[in-house]
Amino acid sequence: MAGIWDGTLTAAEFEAAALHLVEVWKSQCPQLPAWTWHVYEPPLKSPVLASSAVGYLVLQDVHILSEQKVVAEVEDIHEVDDESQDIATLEMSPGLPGYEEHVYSYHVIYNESYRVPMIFLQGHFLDGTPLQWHHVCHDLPLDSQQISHESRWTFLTQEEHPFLHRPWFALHPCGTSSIMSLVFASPLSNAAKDSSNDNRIQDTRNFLPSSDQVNILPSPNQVSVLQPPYNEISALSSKPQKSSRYQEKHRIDLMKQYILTWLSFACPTVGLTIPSCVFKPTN
Amino acid sequence: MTVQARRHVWMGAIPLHLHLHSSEVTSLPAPPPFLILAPRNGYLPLLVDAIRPHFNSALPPGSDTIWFDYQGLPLKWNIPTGVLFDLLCAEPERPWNLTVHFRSYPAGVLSLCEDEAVKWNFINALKEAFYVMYGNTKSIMNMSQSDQVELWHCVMKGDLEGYDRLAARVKPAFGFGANVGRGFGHPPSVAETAITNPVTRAGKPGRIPMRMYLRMVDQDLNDLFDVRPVSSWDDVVYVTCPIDVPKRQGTTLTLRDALMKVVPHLFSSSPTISNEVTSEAPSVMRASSNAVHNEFNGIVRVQGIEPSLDLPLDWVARNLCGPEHFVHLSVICTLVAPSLPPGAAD
Repeated sequence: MAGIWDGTLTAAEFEAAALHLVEVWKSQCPQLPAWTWHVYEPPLKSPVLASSAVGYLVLQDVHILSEQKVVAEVEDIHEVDDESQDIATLEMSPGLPGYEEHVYSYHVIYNESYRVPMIFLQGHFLDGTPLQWHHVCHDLPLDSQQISHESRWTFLTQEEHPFLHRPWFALHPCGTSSIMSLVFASPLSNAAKDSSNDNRIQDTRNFLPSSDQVNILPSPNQVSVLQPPYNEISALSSKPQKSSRYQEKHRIDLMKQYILTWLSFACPTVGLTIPSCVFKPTN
Repeated sequence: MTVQARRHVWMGAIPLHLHLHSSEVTSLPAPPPFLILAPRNGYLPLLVDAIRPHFNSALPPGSDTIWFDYQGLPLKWNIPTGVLFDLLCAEPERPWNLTVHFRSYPAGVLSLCEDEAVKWNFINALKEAFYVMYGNTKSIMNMSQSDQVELWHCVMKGDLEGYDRLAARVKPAFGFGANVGRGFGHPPSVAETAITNPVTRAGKPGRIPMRMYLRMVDQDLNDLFDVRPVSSWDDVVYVTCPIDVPKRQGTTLTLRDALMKVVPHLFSSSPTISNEVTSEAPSVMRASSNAVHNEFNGIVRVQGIEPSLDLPLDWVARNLCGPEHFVHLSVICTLVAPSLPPGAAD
């Protein structure tokens, strides 16, 4: 068993990967809203707990035009025969009838139990009214919507924000480590020694929601860009006799990519797009 | 002994003295307060069927969502009732005076408590605990829907025997029913193999699922009678902090060791001193030398008990955990007076 990576990361690796993401994001797509690293400041005079990660990633003020199919039809009818209609609703859909604007914040937080990052989101209307589960669900890509309805309590649920202690929405983290251990396994070396393993990777790709919607998941050539460290991890598991300092160095390099890679499927799941430029090699 | 400890934990209950919030009273006279025994390991909204009929006729028209507050603080329904009591009632008050509301749900502070939210909060916590212990959630995922529902009914009814029966049936089996055989002459290996899991050797949990709730008070811990109540959840720090179980044979981790890992600053002398001195010594010795030198500046409560910090963490986890297998530690500590710069007092 020893040597096979289980797809999890430590709190320190989480922080390193988060800071890496912030840096890459800023340099590769400066025109987009930036991910920032927020250091957790405990409530006044309270002690900080020693073991937990001390910060989290934040992306805020993401505006989404939400399609309001049913509402829109009703409004159209009203528009024909009733001049005095709801002004507030009209204001919410400037220029685009049938759409209303929702503003989202996304936080990426380390989960101590599952030892993986977890995405939290919260949205509100332009007037500040918070979005409920069904609103948030409606804003998800179609396949995520379907999963949400099939697995009402195990996919996207209202959870307490671990730092803010307020109700947010979160994607359940229990499948993250198994997906990550597959994504980070080298497809080539796996194909050579175990073809069934490779099939599992294929399956995971098909299963990942929205990968078709945005070109997010590393395509084969993008994977090859990231190939060297991926090869290293299989080297880590198969050749434990290599010097531990060497292993450690490459583990650190690889783990820095963790959040970026994970976001490549976690973000599309919640309808957030990631530009492919962040996957370009930075040097 | 062990069986008894678990049975006591499962039977633990808190008498509640409930009155309806004045803004929701539409009858004259106002309905009298309602007394009810709330299971420690239960969740407040589960009491709704017992409470609602008592206040029903006094309520204004509209739809209901039950919630509770203690001295103005809305109570988080996803935290077990006993934990709320241990944490928020610094000086235990019996019955516990709570205000019940059926309107104006504080959705900004509390998660919505709709349909099956309480049940799924429990199942998801159980899954999380299993991931912490064994690195996977097979036991829970392999449970049939009907078994999950039955398990939940056992939790709601406080039926420990039913719970253990179901837990033993699942593959890999869980629950501590099998483990208690140890004290009764059964070979330990049988009990151990019942929870054997390929991920961890010998079926021992790799980590212990723990949640810690930390509250600071500004007065002497020996006199908590008129301590200032918690007015906002921002004043409480609470985190999930799994504790690694040492792999080496013969190493016993105590509750004190766990606290030392999570809140080292609450010990009166720095743990690093003794680590330096005995860095070559086996960790058992290191742990015991810490126990001698460091005093914990706080009150720790688990299931209403203030346990000795020298209890093995493993024992605490098996006997004092909730039905979702988490150990909930409520810690009340005093504010450490900040050293003021010269002249600041004026």
